[in-house]
Amino acid sequence: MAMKEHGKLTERQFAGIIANTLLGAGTLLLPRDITAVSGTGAWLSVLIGGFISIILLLLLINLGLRFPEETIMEYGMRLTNKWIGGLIGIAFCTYWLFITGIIVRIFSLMLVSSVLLKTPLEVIVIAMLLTVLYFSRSDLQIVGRVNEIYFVFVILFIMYALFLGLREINLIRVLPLTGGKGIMPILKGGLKSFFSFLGFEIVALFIPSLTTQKLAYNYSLKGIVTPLVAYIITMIVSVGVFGVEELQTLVWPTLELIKVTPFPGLLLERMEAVFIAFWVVAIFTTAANVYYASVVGFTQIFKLKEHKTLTLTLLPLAYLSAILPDNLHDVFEYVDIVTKFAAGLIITTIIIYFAAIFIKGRKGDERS
Amino acid sequence: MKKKTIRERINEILSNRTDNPGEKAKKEKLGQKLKENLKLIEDIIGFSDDVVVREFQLGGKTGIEAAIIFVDGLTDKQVINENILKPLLIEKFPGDELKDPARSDIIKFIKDKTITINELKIVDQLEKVIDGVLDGDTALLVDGYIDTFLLNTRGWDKRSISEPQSETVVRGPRDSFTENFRTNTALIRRRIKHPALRIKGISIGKYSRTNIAICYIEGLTNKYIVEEIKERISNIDIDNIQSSGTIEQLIEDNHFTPFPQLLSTERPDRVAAFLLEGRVAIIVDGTPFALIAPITISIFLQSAEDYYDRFIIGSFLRVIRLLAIIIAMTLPALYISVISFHPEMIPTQLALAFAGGRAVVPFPAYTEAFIITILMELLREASIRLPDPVGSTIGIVGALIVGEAAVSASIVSPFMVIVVATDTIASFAIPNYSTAIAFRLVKYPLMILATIFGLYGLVLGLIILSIHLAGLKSFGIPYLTPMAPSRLGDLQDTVLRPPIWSLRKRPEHLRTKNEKRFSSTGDDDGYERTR
Amino acid sequence: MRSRKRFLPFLLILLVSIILTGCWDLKDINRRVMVVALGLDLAERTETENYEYISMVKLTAQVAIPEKLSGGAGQPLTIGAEAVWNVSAIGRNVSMCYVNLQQRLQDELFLGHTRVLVISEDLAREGLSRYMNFFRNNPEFRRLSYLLISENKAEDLLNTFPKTANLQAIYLMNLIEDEIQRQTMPDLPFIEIAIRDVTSGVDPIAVLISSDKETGNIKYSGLAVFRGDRMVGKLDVEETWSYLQLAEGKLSGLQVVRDVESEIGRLSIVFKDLKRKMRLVLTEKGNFKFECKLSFEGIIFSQEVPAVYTKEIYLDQLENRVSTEVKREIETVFYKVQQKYNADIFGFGELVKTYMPEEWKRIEDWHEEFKKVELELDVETIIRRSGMHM
Repeated sequence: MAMKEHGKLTERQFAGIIANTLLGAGTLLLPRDITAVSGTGAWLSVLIGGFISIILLLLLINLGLRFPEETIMEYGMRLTNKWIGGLIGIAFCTYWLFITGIIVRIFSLMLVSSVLLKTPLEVIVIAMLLTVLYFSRSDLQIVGRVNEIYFVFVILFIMYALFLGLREINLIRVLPLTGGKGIMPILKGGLKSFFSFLGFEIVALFIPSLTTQKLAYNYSLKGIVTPLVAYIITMIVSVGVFGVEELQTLVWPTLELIKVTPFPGLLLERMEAVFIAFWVVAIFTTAANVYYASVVGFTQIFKLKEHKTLTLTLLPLAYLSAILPDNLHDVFEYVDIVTKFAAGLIITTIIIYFAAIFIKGRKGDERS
Repeated sequence: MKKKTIRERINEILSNRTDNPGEKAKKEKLGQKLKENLKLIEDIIGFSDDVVVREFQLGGKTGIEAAIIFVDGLTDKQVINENILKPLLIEKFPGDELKDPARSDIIKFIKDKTITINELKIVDQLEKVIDGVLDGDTALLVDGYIDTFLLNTRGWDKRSISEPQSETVVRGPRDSFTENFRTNTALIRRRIKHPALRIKGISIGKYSRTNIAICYIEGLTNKYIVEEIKERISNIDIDNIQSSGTIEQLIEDNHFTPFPQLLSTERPDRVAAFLLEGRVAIIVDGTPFALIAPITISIFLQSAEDYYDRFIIGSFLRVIRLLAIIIAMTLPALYISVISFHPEMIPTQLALAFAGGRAVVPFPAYTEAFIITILMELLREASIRLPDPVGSTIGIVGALIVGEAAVSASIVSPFMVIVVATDTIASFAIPNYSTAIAFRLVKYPLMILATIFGLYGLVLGLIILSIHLAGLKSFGIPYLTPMAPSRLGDLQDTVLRPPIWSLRKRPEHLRTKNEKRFSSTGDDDGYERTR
Repeated sequence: MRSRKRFLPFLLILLVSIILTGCWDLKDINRRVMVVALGLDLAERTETENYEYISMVKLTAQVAIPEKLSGGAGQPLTIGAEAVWNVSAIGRNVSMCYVNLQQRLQDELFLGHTRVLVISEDLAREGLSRYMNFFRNNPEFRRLSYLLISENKAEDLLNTFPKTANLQAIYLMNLIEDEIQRQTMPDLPFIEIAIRDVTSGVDPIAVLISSDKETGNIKYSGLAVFRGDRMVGKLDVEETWSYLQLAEGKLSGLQVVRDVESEIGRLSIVFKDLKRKMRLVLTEKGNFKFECKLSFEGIIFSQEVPAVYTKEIYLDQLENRVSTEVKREIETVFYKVQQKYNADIFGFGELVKTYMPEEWKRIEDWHEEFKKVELELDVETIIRRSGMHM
């Protein structure tokens, strides 16, 4: 396909895309969600979720490297047949589209309840989606570059914020480290934590464009470990500052965390507005990357010439999925459903495709 | 007689009109008779007053008639008198031996033995003769010959080399380019005395016939960049090039952006530095601004002086400039966000002070901001037009008085004035004029977004801006290099300025052929120079 | 490029339509009412409310008047009473009060700069959590503002203007922050109290302030002890110091002891360093024991009697005496809180929860268990310097 030429993404951009896509809505909600299930052992749950994601990611990359010129949509249809591959592809793209909406919804909810109280939710959603739209019309190179820049900003800010938060930790609240409730809750929490890792699978679309494919493993690991570490620290700091019980009462724990962290006396005091500003960037990268993946994926499944045509047509669907939940409770439900669906989809796809490879006896293509 | 319709008549007139002298020059030919040639040339040039035709006879007893044509004002008359007329008139041309078919010897004789001009050409096409004369050469026609001499007698009044107007430095060279093409190329030559420096000339512009030179270092500059630039320039099809700005707009990659993709500079030392980094310079006759391509956004943080002082100072200044860019771009929008949407962000006592200051102002914050920012722009434009001594005074006085008056009249709050003043000062701190304007422009959409959504809007605006910047390219090099795609080796020279001894390699993204700036073992051609 | 041509105008229309519809959250800073402090009191029950009610509350908002504060060149600085305006409203709960209050003001109430929340003792004794939720739900309210308990009415506290106060709320806030820095007051922002309220195994405490409207004095008078969300007792300032030393390892204020040599004069010791070690032990009797070792390092702040403490033996005796005094005081406070108030303000419960989670699950009512907790305290003091004068 003319669109996915080689050498358009550098390795660092690859890692940046993964990291940016992950860092987004999950951090906003999850401390509360996971600690409800696994108590102070929540960080372990995150670790488990992270490991599972890493394994899946590496498997996906392995799969992708066997077809160095094609993305998962393309080789999927070739490997199995048009219908199975196409169905899987459509499943992925639709789920990505849905996630775009949900993530924008979550973020807009947070904005509306804390900063922009009177602005209608729809308007905030539209504003974000329009920016995502502008982004999605770009070429892959621009996508790479933007991700590369933002990666540094977002990570630096999060680390800074968490570092300051570390000072406020009441160590007693963090212990016992394993949650004291046994292993089952931690595992259940692990599944819930998977939501924060969703999105890593979009790399399956970008592997062919990577400049040096050998380094794919290397850099994808870098890309996924960074958010993992950030999540763990966030979890520990949230629990350390608030304690498990209090966390249950907070709708937006990470935001509250920033509210109670005194930033060293600069000109600006209440830094949560600044925090939200950075969070806009983090959410934007998540939503924009996933939306882009969805558009590009559909383009490849239906063998269209260029992806720009779809960017506009798919946007209303993303908007609808943002509007769909009625209230916060619904949002959580959808998050749950999507997480389970995504996990299932990814695992099934990997199994099917690897099985197909095994059966057909293909070892994969050579790179031209 | 067939009655011609109005349309046919108009066509006739128009077609006659389009037969301009330029076309004629292409069509007609020189003959051997002097008188005819002279008539032809005068006809095409149109008997302009400043075109001088001097007929005379060659010295000696040959009796051959000749004539020189030159343009008064474009030529050095001293040279014409001393080096053309005098030798031709005094020289005792061999006489009777030449009364034979081998008369072409006269031309050869003149060229080899008589004329004391250092640069001459012999042409036989009318078009070239006309061009040459209009360039400042003197045409020498000899009766009986088609071959015509074009003698370099160029000389005209020009501005002497003075200090740069827009890129002043405290410690560093103070010469800048002038409008004269040769002077400019000479200024560069003087700073790069290596034989690898190439200055290739082209003439662009149907009517203006402006001379343009593309300068690069052979063996160093990536040849694809040079080729690309050459191609784009030769593809220019326009009638008038008066400034390098026109060239810039005609060859740049992306027009729908306020951000420049070529750098314009007045300073030969900067041009030399850029050439040695692996970039290409374009000199345009008639403009004191040279163009540099390709460039990336990090260049806009740099001023020439950065490298002339110690690296700690250079780095400090760059950080200040980065701050200036951020302030110039976002300060009014930030003000609007904080005052109207997020007053909890500022310390309580400051918030109360703001509230107090704004209490008597009838407008909301964004109106205030727009009013006074636009007022500032007006003042700026106005002060450019005013003649020098008056201009700066009025600028300052105007700003002060307007600011004071506005505050007293309760149209704006005092904080707004401070905000706008800081903003303006910051935009002056940006070293490159085009970039400064670009960022000033960006300020307005950001203000609008901040008015609707507060800080959220400002951030969305910045995101959109960064997406836009990420998509820009300058001759194939992404605009945001070395930040994205990141090339770690080049990163050291963006915000901070590393010590001279650490700048070992030329910028990676330019893919030069000769990577090392310093050579401890000596170059191929034996020249060893440090940067 | 066709798609681009169709795209741009569409985008433009969309953008313009958004812009034209308005900026919803835009509220200029001078159209907001800056509430710098809030006070909550119990209000007299009025007969106008006819159906069931528990009690009425009175919300007092201390509003800064920006015009007066901004000063300007040459204008006299407005401070104290003229700089603020205290408005009150009565309602069934905080939200009602808030709404009632808004009805009196031309601009919108803004809680983003509220530095202090004062609750009267009466209200605190009735129970706090009923009223806390209003503040926790409100995104504007600063989580780090200080929650204070006022011995008099909150409204009176807000109407007390110390002579050096520019802005009364800021005065209060500075007073508290300074005390915290000097380690004589625990750091109790609103969020901390909220967390303690919710977390099992620890009870809330709050700073106690008393005020005198006539003289304009505001005084930090100790700690309010809560059991659950009800206030059950007080600790005075010196008792608070003991609490701080035990529970948070803070240095606190002076320690006054009698002179070793003559037994007449007194010395004041100021502590410069404190190291605290805690250990949780389960005794055979089935209750918990906390072994705590405190190592102080102090200097002689002042002495009434010109005894010389350069001699080793005097210094040793002094150190012992100080240790004994400190131990006695801390134990007194502990038992008072444990038995009389039965509130675990020290957070021992949390320690049990952390280090012995299985035991914690066993416990049904921590407050009952807490009564049986033993404290084994070991205090050590080293006195280093003696100041400028021998």
